[in-house]
Amino acid sequence: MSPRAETRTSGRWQSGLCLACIAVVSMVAGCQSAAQHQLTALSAFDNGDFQASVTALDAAAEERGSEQELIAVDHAIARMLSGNALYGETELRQARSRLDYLKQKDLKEQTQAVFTDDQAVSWTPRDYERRMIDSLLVLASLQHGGEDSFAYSSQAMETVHQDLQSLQAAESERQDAEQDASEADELIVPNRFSVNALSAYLHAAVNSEQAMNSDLTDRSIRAVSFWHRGSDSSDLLTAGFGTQTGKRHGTVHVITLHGRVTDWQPETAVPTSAALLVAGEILSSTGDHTVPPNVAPVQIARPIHEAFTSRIQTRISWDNGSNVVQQTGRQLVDLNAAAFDSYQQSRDDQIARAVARRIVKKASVYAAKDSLGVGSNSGLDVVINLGGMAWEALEKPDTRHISLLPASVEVVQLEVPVGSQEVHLDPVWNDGALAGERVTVDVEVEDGRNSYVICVCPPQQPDRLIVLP
Amino acid sequence: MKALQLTGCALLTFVLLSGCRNRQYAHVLDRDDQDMVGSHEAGAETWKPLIDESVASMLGRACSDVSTVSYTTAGGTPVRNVCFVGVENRSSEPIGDFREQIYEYIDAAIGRSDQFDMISRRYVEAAMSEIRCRPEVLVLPQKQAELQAALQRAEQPFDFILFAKISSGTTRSNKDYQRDYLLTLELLDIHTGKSLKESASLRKGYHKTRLGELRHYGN
Repeated sequence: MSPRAETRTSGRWQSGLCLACIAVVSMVAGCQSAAQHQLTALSAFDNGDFQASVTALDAAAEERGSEQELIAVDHAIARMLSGNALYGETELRQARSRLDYLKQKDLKEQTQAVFTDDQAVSWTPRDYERRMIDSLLVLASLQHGGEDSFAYSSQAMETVHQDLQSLQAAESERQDAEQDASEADELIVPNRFSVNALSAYLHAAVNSEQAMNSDLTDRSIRAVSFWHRGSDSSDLLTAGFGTQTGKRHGTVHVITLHGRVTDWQPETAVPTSAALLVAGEILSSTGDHTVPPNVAPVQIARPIHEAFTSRIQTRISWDNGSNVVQQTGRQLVDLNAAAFDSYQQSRDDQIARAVARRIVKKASVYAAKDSLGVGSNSGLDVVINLGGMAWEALEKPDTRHISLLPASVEVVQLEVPVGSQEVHLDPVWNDGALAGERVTVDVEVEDGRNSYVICVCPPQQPDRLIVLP
Repeated sequence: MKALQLTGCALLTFVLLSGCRNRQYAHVLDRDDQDMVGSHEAGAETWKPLIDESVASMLGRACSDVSTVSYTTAGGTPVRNVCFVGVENRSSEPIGDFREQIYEYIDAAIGRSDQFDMISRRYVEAAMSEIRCRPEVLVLPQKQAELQAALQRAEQPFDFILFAKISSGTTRSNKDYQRDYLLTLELLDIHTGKSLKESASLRKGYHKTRLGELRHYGN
């Protein structure tokens, strides 16, 4: 090769390298930018500015490398809360279909995940998130007339029924394993299924408008108590639903979404990391080659908060001229507790995947040294070990989650006469003292039907009730 | 070499745990295609024959047993005005979206008979909502009178109330179980208080393995 040709080749290499660097930098910058937009969206949401949240999520979705499905769900929620229930519902339905497709395991992604981390796999919602999407679809539909609310609530109840069957099957297996011939105890509902209480509540409400479906309404109301961890439904349900009310009366449901669901953070699996460290040391001392030392700990994802604690509730009151009728809301679902229970349930699985990934990585480094004939403590050995350590350190736990779900859902009902009624909503402390400004809402109450008032208490202003249009 | 095998094993484990992502497909069934058999619950394979059988029995008996009629057609056939008040599910399974279908099938099948005139569901629903009436309390004369009054205001008087009830019975044998489904139609004459009851049943076996069917039923 002539010196000139050599220079040209070298120049090509350099420009190629430059382009590659620019590509990598722009990709990283793109991801950061998407993350920044998402942070802006969260901040706007936390302050109750849902429209600004929608705008920021629009910008995030345009960035390359962003988690499109995740953003789509958050976007749909923000849109629904900003008053565009119809669009929110459409987006949520489309996102759900896409997520159902992505829920299936993909060979390519799973293989990639072995060499990188769990974030290489397309995001799919955790079970409690998926159930919440179903319930939000019912709510979104009810917000703009409820045309599809029957279908959505029936779909949600199918999942609820499957959950019941899986709980029963697990209990039966447990009894078989323990050779327990006694009558099955009452099933204990894990917190991760608590969203089912909301699904059952909405199903009861939707069906209660048909007197013919009274048995179905009763069944769903029993399901609310069951999924609300066996509580008495009379605590939660302060008025009859739909046709359960007196003649010429209807039910006003106030559904308050409190706060924002817990974020997830990395957690170091200390015993696993220690076990891997020991295993690595044994392998290094007994094998022909060393494996990269376990500098990067094994990390898994866990929710920041274990439960939602709010001291503020929503009180609904209606003045009938002679006296004031009022009821105070009760928490139906604690999504932080659901998230934490979901973490506890999947913890072992997360660790197992992380360990399998480490084994593959360490074995790959060992195999590379073996095939290259790298001598112990040689320069190349150190370089390969450093590379292996960096490879392991790049792993990130899968902390992806729907950010704009509420932390808690509270419900309260009031039976009021038909017609245009003025109801007052007050954020109150646990002792009943007023915590924030009263909101007055005009509700059109129809005979034997339900009217819905959906409120949001933004995380930064928990004493402020925002009533969705 | 051992390291390579180890890598391969770990990779294989991961890969075996995963699969391929498939799109969903659908096809339109031909008329002679058999219904899918629900693996965990009753489905079309259960409800359709139950409806056909119970309705046929009801129509057969109604010709001879029921004497109260509202009016006769030009041909002299007695016509009975029926208020169908819904399908009550007392089985151990939720029937989901089949509830609406079961109602519509029964309503349409009985309505096709010359001897029955079914009141439109929309009138019935509106009247039941207005008087806050659950189907099961319609055996009480007072509630019947309230419903009659509400429907008469809409010029839809009736002589009979039709109840449909689904019930089930489950027999377990270890992890397998047999569920007997019963669809009962009950036609109540509000003038005499007499009722005519017909039902159809269907048995289904649910098994954890293919062998379950062989073990319990010898098929």
